Amino acid sequence: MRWLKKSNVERVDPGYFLFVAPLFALFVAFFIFPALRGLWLSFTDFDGIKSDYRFVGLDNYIRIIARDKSYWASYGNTIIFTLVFTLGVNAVALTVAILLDRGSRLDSVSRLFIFLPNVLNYVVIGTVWFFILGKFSTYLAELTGWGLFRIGWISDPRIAIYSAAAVAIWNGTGWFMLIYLAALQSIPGDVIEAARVDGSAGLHTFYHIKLPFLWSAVSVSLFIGITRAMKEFGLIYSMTGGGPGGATQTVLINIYDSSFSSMRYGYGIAKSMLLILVLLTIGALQMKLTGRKEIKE
Amino acid sequence: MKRSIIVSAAVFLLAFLFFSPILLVLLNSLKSEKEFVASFLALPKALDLGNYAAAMEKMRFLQAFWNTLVVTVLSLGLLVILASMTAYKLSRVRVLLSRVLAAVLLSSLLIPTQGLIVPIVVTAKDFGLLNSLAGLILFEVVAMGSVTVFMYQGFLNSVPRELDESGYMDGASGLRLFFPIIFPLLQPITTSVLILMGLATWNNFLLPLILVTDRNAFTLPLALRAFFGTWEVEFTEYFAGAMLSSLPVMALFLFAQKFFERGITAGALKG
Repeated sequence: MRWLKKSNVERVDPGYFLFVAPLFALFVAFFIFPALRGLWLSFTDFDGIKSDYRFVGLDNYIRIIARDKSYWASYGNTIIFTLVFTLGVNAVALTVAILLDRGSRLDSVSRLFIFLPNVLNYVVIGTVWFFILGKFSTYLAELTGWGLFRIGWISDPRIAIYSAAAVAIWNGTGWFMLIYLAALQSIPGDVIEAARVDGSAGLHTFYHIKLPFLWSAVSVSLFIGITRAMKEFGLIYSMTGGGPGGATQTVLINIYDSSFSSMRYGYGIAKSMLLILVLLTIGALQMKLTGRKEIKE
Repeated sequence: MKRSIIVSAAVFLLAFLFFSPILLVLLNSLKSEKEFVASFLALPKALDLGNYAAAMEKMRFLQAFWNTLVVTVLSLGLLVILASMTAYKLSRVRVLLSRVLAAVLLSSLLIPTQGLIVPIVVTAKDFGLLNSLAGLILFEVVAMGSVTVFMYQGFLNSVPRELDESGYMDGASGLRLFFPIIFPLLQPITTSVLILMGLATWNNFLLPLILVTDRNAFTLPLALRAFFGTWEVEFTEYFAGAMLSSLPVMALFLFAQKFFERGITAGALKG
């Protein structure tokens, strides 16, 4: 409580407000105001156009919880996507980072290639993979006759969500690889040298010397993966639009569709509020588990 | 020694797989429609940039490029100035108010843009900010504001206070102290912010998607999406469009790879 000392309180001069007011004015107008407004609108039948919308109490929430099967199904899709993406991207990125740690010239080209998909926008990624997993795959099937290319990567409802996660892994591996590379390079050289002198090598060095240093990077990366996957919208939306038959509809796509396609704003916002509740729970969990005051993108 | 070469080669093969979709798009963007239909894998017969010219016109590339550039540059400028100023006071003046403000920022981190798409649209409509670059810029700054403040705050905590105090001695205070003396010291973290947030803004899809329906205000992802959706797409032309929208940022990445890598790891691991 040292910061509460009187001498510190006195330091808040007009200059303080000059520094913090501009950003917070924007936050009030474009975050706090919309958030509170949204909370209110979630109790109404607002459709985005008419101004004489009515207060309907908990109707929206009750209808969502009791009857909206597609909304809850979209949580299932989001969970599958999140699990596959988070575990997959971390496994691939960690493996690649360990293998690239030595850093020959060829390795730096490899790093470049693996990272490059990260700078593309989601429309490019989604549409290009729509082509690759559709037409191109069919073409390869005719060319090679391999069954692998006959799988309906995005047309089969049982498979499409895994394909979306795989594409997201392709897109994100480079990012996570860099985090792991930085963690590996932060291991003091003399620790590894000392282990080598003691006769440690290869896998032994990895398990007993390097891995303990990596745990914090792993836990950070797992949470970054989860948050990133939960917020994923553009990639899946551009690739499949939520189809086939809702098989890749994540919560965000479900909310987007029911708000803007069917113009049921109040109902859509109520869905958002329930999602926010879920996100807040995960955020609180994250802070508790990692003991970090901040969560980074 | 030999083993490490084999490992390098194996990883390179995997890395090449990561790169191959981009290569596929590049190769096919240079083919005529006829060549493309004949084989997706063959190399282009001649270096023909016709698809690029067609794509530029059909997706109104220059307009979209300009819009994206304006939004990115102005958002970043505003973001860096406002967030560093805020972080400076939050890190130096440890009063209750600073804690409250930090809590507001934290809450906006936990409630991302994605959770507020409908209220954002409604608010933008009220303020007359639909279909305007100004609207995109303001919402971008708010969406990135809290992460950026925390990044600056983490860095500022390691900048010794004595520097502020020596500035005070020289009679500088307020903004006259901050911008000439403190802000230049923050350059490493400013670089990280510019790269992380620049990439995110340049490629942002969701915010323009909900705020912009007018073609004149389309950013690159929207222009590309419209191109894919409304024209009877010729894939070769579309691929040229996809390359066009990706080339600027790929070029920037190749040019400043070190900064990118440092920016990303600093953003993820500090704090």
